[in-house]
Amino acid sequence: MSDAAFAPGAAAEGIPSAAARLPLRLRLAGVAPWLYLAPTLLGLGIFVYWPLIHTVALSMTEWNLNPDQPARFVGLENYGRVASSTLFEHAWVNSLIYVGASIPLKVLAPVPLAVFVWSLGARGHAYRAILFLPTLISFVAVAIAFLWILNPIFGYAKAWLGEIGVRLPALLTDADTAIWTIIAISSWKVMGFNMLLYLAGLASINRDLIEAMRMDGASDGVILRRLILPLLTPTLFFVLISTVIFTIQQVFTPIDILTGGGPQNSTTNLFHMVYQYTFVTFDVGAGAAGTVMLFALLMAVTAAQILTLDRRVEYGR
Amino acid sequence: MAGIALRNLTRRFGDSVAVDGLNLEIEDGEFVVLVGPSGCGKTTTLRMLAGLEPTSEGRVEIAGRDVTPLPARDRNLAMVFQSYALYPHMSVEENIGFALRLAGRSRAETAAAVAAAAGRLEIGHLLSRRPRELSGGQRQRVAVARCIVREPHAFLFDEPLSNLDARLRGSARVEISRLQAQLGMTTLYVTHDQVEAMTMAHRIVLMEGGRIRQQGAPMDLYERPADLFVAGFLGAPAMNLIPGVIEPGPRGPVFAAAGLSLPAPLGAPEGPATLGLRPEALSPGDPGPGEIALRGRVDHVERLGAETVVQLSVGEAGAISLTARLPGAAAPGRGAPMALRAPVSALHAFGADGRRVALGAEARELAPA
Repeated sequence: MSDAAFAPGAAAEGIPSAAARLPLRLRLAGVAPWLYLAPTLLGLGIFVYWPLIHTVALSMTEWNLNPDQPARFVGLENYGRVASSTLFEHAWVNSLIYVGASIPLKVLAPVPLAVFVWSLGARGHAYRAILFLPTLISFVAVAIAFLWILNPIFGYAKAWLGEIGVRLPALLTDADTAIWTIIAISSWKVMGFNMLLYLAGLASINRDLIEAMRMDGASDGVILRRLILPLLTPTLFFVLISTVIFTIQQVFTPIDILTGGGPQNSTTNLFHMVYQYTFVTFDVGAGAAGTVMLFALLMAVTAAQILTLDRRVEYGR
Repeated sequence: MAGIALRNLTRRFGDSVAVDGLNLEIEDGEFVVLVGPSGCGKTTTLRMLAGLEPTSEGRVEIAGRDVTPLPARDRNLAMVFQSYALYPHMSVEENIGFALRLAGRSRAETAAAVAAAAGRLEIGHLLSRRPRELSGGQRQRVAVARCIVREPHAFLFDEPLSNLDARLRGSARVEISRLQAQLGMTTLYVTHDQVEAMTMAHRIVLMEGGRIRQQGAPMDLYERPADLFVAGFLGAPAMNLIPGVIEPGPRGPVFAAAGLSLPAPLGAPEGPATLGLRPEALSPGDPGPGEIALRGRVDHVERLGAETVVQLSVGEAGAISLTARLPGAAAPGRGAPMALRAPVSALHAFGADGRRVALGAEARELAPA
């Protein structure tokens, strides 16, 4: 096939262009990389970049999700409106609380847990499975189960605590406790997954290093502080970034199912705010503006983490 | 530095016994090499001494004190690991000085000790580097420096040269031996390499199946192997071992095997036996007085420059394979017939139970002038 251009008849039918004289294989060589990339580029374009551009465009319009109603261009008005709303103020402060609480509970707490399970060796497999189990359950199922457990009238927790004479406070309907209840549930949910990431990091530490440090006179505490934690920093860094992003996005499910953002917006976050604007009050422009702001925030948080922490991470092996 | 004693040391893993009632004393300043094939229990023995492996039975004594219940960190022993185990997140200087800082020595004191150790190992210019920026040989030196800086009771080496190339291994052997002599370090060195054992040890302890098969000065073991295992393990190329039988002959007992009939070593009792002959004891040519003759056909020739290693088939139908280590100039062609000789005194004999019954050196002493 590729030899067709060199067939004796080819020249007689006219002078072919330089490109046409090249075998097909070579002519395709320039295009081939793009063909290989095409499925990924197409997917990214359709599902990531186009929605991103479209969202930015939507954020400058006023539209109520009605296809019959045309979107009206309003410039940056939506951004000002969202930024000055009390819903945004609540969502913003709550997002900070969710992220702030996630660092000790979701990023740091799994470290000692992972070290403990790791130190057990093969005996730790059962603990690993038990601790990882919540990760496998759908967050919707988890949220509904906790809704039953924490129901202040006929919930299991009320009944169990009643047995020992303790009165269960209305955790999810009290504005002071609702956000902490959601934080506790989402921490429990993600704990096992992050522990597994740390276990993977620990597995890459050469046991000889631990023994060498023992021979150098180090106690278990010194080994943890001077060897294991420094060598775990790449994993810690990854867990930190992924958990912050996860916390901003994923707590949407328990918020929506357990409290719907209430009471008095005490549990809503930026992600849930976007949902409230777009699909509860059908203010698509404000929702899109909130989404763009959330995107900018995530970019800023990740960039800040990389700039401040990356230098302290021990990638050396 | 201090002496070490291992008394009835045993380590079991379930039903299998890795180290079986081992008794070993290491004098203050002595360089002992534990050598043996994989799985013989040498590393387990070293790890029990280090405190990294629990003992199932027995005692570990350092400087006359029972340290069996003490954890590794309280035994004041230093160890060079096979992987070197340098802390990847610390500089060379921090690696070497870590134990001293941990022991509460001041920054200045530590820096001086690190500089002295680094100077001794000629790695002073590498102190600010990280281990990943070092070559294998440099890492090995840092691992040794980390040990000598501490002035421990004894040094333990766990196959420290196995990750180096052949040339570096040779120079590292010399350096470790020199350092050991200069510092008078009590040393237990584990290796599976008999060259390291022969060249470095004051005393070789040869292990197999969790037990000591033989111990002694390297040349004692080489010249008077206690059994077939020791005879086959030490020496490269390995000793030629020919199974056969010692029977009476017209001019005294002879060793017979596959058409071969050789004068038996002095003192060897009649019956099934294995004859041992080191490859270097063989030389080309016809026998003189007090020598045996072997005729065979050359199967394979390995020219190493300084020497030539020849594989021959001897005996009836070439049933016996022999290795001869000849001078480099000896260059027989493959398939050529070859006449070899060896002194009778170089013959080793092992009984049916595999234990030695007579050998060249003893025979020489016993032989009438």
